[in-house]
Amino acid sequence: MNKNRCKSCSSCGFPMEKPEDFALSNVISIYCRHCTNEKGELLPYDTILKANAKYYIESQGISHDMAIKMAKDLLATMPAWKNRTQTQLDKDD
Amino acid sequence: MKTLRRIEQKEKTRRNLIRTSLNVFSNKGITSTNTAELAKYAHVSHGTIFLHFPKRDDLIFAVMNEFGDQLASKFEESSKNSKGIAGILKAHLQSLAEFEDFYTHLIKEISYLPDKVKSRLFILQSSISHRINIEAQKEIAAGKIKNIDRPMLFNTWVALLHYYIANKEVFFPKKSVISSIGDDLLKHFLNLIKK
Repeated sequence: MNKNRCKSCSSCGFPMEKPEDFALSNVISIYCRHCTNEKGELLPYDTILKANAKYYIESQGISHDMAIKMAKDLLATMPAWKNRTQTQLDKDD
Repeated sequence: MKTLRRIEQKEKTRRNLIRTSLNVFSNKGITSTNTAELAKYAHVSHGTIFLHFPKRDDLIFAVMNEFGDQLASKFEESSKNSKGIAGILKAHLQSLAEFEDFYTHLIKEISYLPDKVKSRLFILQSSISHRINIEAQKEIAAGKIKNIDRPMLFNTWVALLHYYIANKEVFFPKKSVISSIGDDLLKHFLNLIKK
């Protein structure tokens, strides 16, 4: 079963298939290249939230407010962010 | 050692519940299937489901993740040797064909499913839109297709596809929409966008 499944980023859910999809092109990383910096470290929550919202907007024309909501709903399910504390962006609803 | 076996067994049961639910949802629909039925099909007690998924929504989300991961993998595999926008759209059709029954229920029932399932579906669509856009930009630059903006290009393609899938009982009862008309839809869409 697992051989038929793409790994997905533990921060944003981005599917990771090719080595270049992974942080530092390291296939054992649990994070994708979009969610990490040049050292392979996880970026702050707010940066990832905004990037995910931008992805929804640019790819499907979803409104800014809905894109932020959907990105929050999605990140709340991710292992990297499940137990995080609230930030300013959460309070801006 | 005993603990390791217990962890492995727990994971096996969890995977069985997800796989079984994906099959049952594909056949009977997502919102109309209750957890008691799923337990029966998975050959586990009703309570076992809640040991792994405290809420029904958690199980639906796990199934959505399974579908998303498998579809992404199939799309990647199908698009490996594809060429241009025609190739990437064909790969999209091929990957969806494998999960057409589940996908049909998903798009028909999405308004009644948890927000996190909706967000997961739309991020999956975004990753497909991203891949289509890479090929589209090359063909726009080469003057082969019209300069249509990214959301509209993807949304128009998906709208065409979804209309037939959502109404499959009218157009192609008990048949696969993608097998029946996928190639024609692709040809029609390519004609619409060509310069």
